[in-house]
Amino acid sequence: MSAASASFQAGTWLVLRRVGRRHAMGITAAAVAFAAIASYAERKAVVSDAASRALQGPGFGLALPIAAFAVLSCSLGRGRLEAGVSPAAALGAHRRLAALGALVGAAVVAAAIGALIACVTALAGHGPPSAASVSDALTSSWIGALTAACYTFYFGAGASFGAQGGGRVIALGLDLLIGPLATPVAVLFPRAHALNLLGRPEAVPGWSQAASTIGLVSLACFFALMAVRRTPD
Amino acid sequence: MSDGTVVHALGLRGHDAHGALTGLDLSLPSGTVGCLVGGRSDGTSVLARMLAGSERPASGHLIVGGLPPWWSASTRARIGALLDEPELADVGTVRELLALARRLRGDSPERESWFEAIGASSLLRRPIGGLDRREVRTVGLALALSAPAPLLVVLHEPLADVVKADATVLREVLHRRASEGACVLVLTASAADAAALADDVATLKQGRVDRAVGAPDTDELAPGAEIELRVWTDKPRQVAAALAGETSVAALSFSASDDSVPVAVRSRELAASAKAVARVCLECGAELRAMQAVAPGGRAMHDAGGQSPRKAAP
Repeated sequence: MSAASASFQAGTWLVLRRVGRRHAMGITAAAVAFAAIASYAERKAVVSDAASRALQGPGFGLALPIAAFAVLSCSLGRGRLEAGVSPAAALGAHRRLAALGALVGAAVVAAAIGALIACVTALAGHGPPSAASVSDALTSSWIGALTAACYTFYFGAGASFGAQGGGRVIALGLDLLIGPLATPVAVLFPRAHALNLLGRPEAVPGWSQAASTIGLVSLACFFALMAVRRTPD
Repeated sequence: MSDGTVVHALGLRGHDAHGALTGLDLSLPSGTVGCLVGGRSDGTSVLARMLAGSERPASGHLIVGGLPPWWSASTRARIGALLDEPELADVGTVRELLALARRLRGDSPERESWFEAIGASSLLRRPIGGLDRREVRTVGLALALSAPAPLLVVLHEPLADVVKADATVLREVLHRRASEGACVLVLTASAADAAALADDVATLKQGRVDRAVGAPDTDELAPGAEIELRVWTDKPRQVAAALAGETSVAALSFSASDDSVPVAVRSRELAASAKAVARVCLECGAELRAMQAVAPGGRAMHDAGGQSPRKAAP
């Protein structure tokens, strides 16, 4: 095995060990419980279109990005991105490849949690299960997985800024503030594309849902590249 | 490097929670076992982190084997480092960690002959997350010493807080690494550990290489050797004059122009000289503000010009 692939694997393995079952279960339980309760409350307030409102509001607006943020924070600790992989770097791992491996590992965990959050939110918003609600839940799941993965890379890039990686907090704040605004700048944030995929086309004016899917993938790649480029080798 | 210098530091500055480096100039050749005596507050822990490539220097230059360790993965792979608080990659058990280190660094034996002697063998099946501080440092020591074809082996307090502190075995392993071409640097606050492990000893004080003794003087760091006592008092002249007549005092110095400079008292017996200082202060009516025992000084051992400490003029 080459040192490059060993570096990537070391980063992934480190993150999966750090997040572990206990953290993953805790984050999942908290996020899913919040999304389910919020979705149930939406349905109780107004039955019509409750699932969409729950998905676009508390589901993808709060639970999913905060869950992705929590996964990344568990993965890297409190410091910068390169500090998160420093135990592997001390043994000679390439920091950039280890950081990429760490982000990919965290993104996989976040995607699984994101899919679950979206699925539960949709089902709780629809009420009694039906073919339509299951279909909507499945569609929401892959959107949730893709969005959560994109958020992980987005926060990972943020963690490469600031002495203690505090850029990730600013990234979260910017996404919360600018992401929902139907402006051209919103195209740069995962939230806008997720909202478009969930049925709010005005979130990204002029973008089709297919374009937003590509947009989310492109953003994930862009932020991954930015995070890696900003990490010393 | 062509002149045999492995570590070259110039104006190195940086700090951690314990201490700081304040413009360290250092050159270390290959094939030597050197030691810097100093506490963590003098910058030993941050120096170890910088040499290992785990800490980026705040300013100045640090080159190990021709490249800065912070930026070069290939250089870090050839540096074996035991830090004050080692960060072990939690990839499962100690055995799995050693396997990861082998994959990252290239081939090295799965189990070294000296693992048993330092207490690492018994830890191989233990999960990383369940190790206490002594065990973590022991695994860190095993990782540091097992780096293949090392450029540099830097060990912070290798005989403290480890499962088995066997100076004889460690000295043998360090000298074997040095004979293979590595530069070995021990950072410790213990003069006895320095004497037990290294050939060349210098002192690191407040972030700079302060004063040093070369190889022939190493034994003088052992207990019972001459030691310097620094005395802070409000009447340094009177105290120095009175101490000049004391039989326990071998030599002394003080500043005629600056009363804030401590009186330096050299003696073979620390307790006797301390008693003499206390008695003299009482007799002179001087206020004895503080006393500090320090390792004996000498010429600078490692200068920035890359001169080997062995070759330095006595």
